Amino acid sequence: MTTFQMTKAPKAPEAPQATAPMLRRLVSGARTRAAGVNLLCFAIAAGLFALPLVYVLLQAFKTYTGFLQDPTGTPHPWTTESFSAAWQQGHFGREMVNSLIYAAVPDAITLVLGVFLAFPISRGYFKYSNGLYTFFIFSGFLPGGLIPLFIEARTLHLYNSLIGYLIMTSLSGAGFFFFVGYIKGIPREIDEAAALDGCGYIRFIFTIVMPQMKPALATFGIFGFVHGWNNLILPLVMLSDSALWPVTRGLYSFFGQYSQNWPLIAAGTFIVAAPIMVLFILLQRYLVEGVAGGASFGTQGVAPGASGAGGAETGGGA
Amino acid sequence: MARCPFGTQRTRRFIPWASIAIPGAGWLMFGLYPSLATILYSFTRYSGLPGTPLNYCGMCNYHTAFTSLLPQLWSAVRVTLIYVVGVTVLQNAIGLGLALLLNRSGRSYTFYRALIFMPQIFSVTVVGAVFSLMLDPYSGPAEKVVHSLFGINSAFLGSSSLALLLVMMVNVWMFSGYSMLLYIAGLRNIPRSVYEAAAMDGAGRLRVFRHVTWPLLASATTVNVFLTTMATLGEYALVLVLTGGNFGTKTLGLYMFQAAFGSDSQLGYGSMLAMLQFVLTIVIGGGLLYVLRRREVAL
Amino acid sequence: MRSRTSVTLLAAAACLSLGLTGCSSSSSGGGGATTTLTVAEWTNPGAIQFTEQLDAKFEKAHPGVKVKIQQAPTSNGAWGTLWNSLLQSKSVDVLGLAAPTQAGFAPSYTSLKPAGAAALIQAGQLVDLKNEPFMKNYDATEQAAAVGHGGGVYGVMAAQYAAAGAIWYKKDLLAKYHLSVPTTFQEFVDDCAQLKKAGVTPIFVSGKDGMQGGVWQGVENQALMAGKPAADSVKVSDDRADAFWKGTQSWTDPVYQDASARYEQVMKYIEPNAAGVAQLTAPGVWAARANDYPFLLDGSWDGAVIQKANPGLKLGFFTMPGTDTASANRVSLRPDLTWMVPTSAKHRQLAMDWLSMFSQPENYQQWLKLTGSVSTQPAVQNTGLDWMDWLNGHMDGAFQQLANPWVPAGAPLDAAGPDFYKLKPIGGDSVDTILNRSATAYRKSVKG
Repeated sequence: MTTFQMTKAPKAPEAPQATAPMLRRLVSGARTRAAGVNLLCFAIAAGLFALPLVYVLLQAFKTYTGFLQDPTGTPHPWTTESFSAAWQQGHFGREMVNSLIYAAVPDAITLVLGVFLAFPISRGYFKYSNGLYTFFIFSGFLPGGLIPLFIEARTLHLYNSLIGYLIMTSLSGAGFFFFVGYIKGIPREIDEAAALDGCGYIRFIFTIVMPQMKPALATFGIFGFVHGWNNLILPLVMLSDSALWPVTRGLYSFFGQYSQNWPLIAAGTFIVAAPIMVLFILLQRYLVEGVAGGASFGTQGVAPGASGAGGAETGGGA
Repeated sequence: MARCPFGTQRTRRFIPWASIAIPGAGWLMFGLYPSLATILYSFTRYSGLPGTPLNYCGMCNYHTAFTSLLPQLWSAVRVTLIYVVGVTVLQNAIGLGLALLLNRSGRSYTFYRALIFMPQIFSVTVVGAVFSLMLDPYSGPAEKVVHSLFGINSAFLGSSSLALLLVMMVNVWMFSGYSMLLYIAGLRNIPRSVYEAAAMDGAGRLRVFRHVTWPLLASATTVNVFLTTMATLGEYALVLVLTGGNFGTKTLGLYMFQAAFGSDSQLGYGSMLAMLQFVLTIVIGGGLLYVLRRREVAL
Repeated sequence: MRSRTSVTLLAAAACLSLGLTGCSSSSSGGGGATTTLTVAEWTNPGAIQFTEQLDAKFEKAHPGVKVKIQQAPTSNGAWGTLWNSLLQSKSVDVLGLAAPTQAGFAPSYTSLKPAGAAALIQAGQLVDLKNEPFMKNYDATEQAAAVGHGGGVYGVMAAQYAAAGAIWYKKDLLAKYHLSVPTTFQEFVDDCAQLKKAGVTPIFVSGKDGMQGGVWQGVENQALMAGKPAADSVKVSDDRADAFWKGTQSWTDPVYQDASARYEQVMKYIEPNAAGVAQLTAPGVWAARANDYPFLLDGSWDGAVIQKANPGLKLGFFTMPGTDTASANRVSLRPDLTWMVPTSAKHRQLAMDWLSMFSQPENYQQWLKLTGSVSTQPAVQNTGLDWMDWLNGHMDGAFQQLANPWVPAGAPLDAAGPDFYKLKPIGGDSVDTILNRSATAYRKSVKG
């Protein structure tokens, strides 16, 4: 599920910021009315979307026996021991490092390789550039390859290894072609001018094309990072050694191991969620408004996004 | 076919190929090959346990699925369809409603949008833990609320009649923020002048929505419906963490996962299920695209 | 501007993690002097605790060796995925799996391929332990029944539990209502009725993970074994499997109808939301509510968990009397954790040393104490636990729990017996529907 927003990321973030929509004028005239709507929105956002998280966070401050005696009340006594216990028993420190590696490395590699793959194709340097592009889009609808990938990984000794996992996630092709459409929007004249100036291909890509693609790269990068961090199925299938597990895999086991002890589970859950939450708070404006701006490019941007969604999803989220 | 302007006379022919060599090869090996190999493995009987043989057995898996295991297959397909339709409809309805409500300027609305968007950044394990506790009939708050409001008991995720609906709701909870944002993007694309014209005609709020907003949101709706459908068709991670597939929640994706990676470890049978999933995706995805495009044109 | 920040951030993250990769690989490469012995088992808190203690001892006795535990809970298939992937990566030396028992090896005329541990044995993936010195501590017949095949013994069945019809009870509550441990089914049901009348919900059970099935299996086991010596249990299982295969018996036979009727009677007394209770949370919730739910349907392995949740609870244990003849209501024991050594183990000798240390009577005694298991070493008794009194007193005539009829790998849950998730009151289907469906599923899966 987490894959589709990544591939459906916007082409450009300069969304029409704060265009006070007509709708608002139509809906509410009076001030009190606006306040009422605001309150309603607050109730929905806080009550429906934030409350479950806050509730679970609250449980983390209970003791085990305190929780058993009064599962739904407020903590008494308050304690933070669950956090330190969860941190130790869940080995979340080590897993955090793993998660960071699994999220950042393939993300960075995918971005760079994606541009190198997309550029010649979007410029039409190959005889069948368009055909290739279409083929990729439709390959996203092919059956999920999780099982053969598992067998392949075992044969190539990529199974249960950090490097192997990184190779598989960096090269599996999710989103390579995502940039094709974007690059088409960069004027060709730049290529010619740069080439005439004697600029080499690699330098050209890094110093001229990539800076032009910053918004796309950034959005793709962030969503790719979040997706890599959150991936559960691939680590579940590909990594048997608990020393290699990322936090998601760790939490999955931790959950089954201690689920009689809810305060501990709640603490573990929040330890796992915290880094991604911090990232979200830092970048939320960019993420949220980025998506809102992205679809304004309409269906032209849909096709590659959609294929990526199908492909990455059925492909085990690689 | 365009000419690559980079490099010398001699290297320029190879630069494009060099450029795509590594990512292209990677994609062939870890993207395309596994997908295609699924077809091959679906004709084998293979447990994947070390030392056990891989036997080609023709249509054996397909035969089993459509004869002795047909009830299981049918139930998985049925659950998947209910899941897909339910989540798509709910998520779009809620997403659109939220979009209409929250497409306002101001810091507070930016904050609300962020809150609503937030659940999807979490891993399914986190969401699974949160709702396993919320919905635990003896330790969670949901039971208390339902009991005091309606005076009824419920086993929630353990209830055959409720479990699927609840998993769907959790899915919607996670992703309706995303739908909301896509709809907001659509709303922002609608020119002001259209509304001004409508206001001049003295159209009421409902009429404006029906005759102006809704048709002009057609492409946003297409994107939303299509993406939600495609993403939910393969869903199993969320079901896995919430119910483990019991109580009528085993989707085709989860059936595949459990057949292949459960203790029975039937990789051949699992591949066959992945193939069926593929067929389902093509049929539904293709049909949906056709219908949505026609609708867009018609509107 | 904002996009630049995020790119910088990303780049920083990438650099950081690359640096960390460097660190971790160098540290693992640098400390090459230590050998790591990997022991894997599913998450049973007592067993894990014991393993950790033993590992510390083992590391002390074998300088330079580090023992690593790999574990995953059995819920949601996490353990199945783990042990499978551990074998795939050839990175486990001692692996604890559930004993395959003889039911795992269907006779060749069925042409059924074994699955799980039995498949590993048949594929030569497990080391034959029969002649290892530590095997002398265990009962050879029992071990052969649990994990033997073709003359070899491919594991050490180290734990067995009363699982079918296992019931924990709160001694104080039974005393309060002047009840004693029932010896016949009628007594048990009467007790439940009396408790219910007194405003107490008699039984707590985790329906989300199928623990209610124990009631049905308990009745079934006692009924099928009635009047037969304990040693016959393997034969009874085989005969039944054979009769099922030949079609002369099926899940709709009277004995299963009767078990189902009794199951329904007992299910009248469970807590209303049983279907939503997960097995891992059930013991804690049950223990914390000292004034309600006198009975908990759960295997005998959960003693430690219950005591931890409520240390003051006076805890008792018995297995449900499933028939109306007190003498037929015997304990059935299910072979449980069985240590196996894969042939792919990198440190086979160390694995044997570890098993040897495990099998030393004083260590094994501690294992029994922490896991609450019934001993599989004739010389050792599990005497360290109060609630074991009843079980120890009922070991005469205790038999190995009957195995289900043979079904092919991948057969639906139904084929090997009723699907308790779908059977009323946890599910919505009636006994007739469930039994008929099981009978059909069995026939289809063996003929398909």
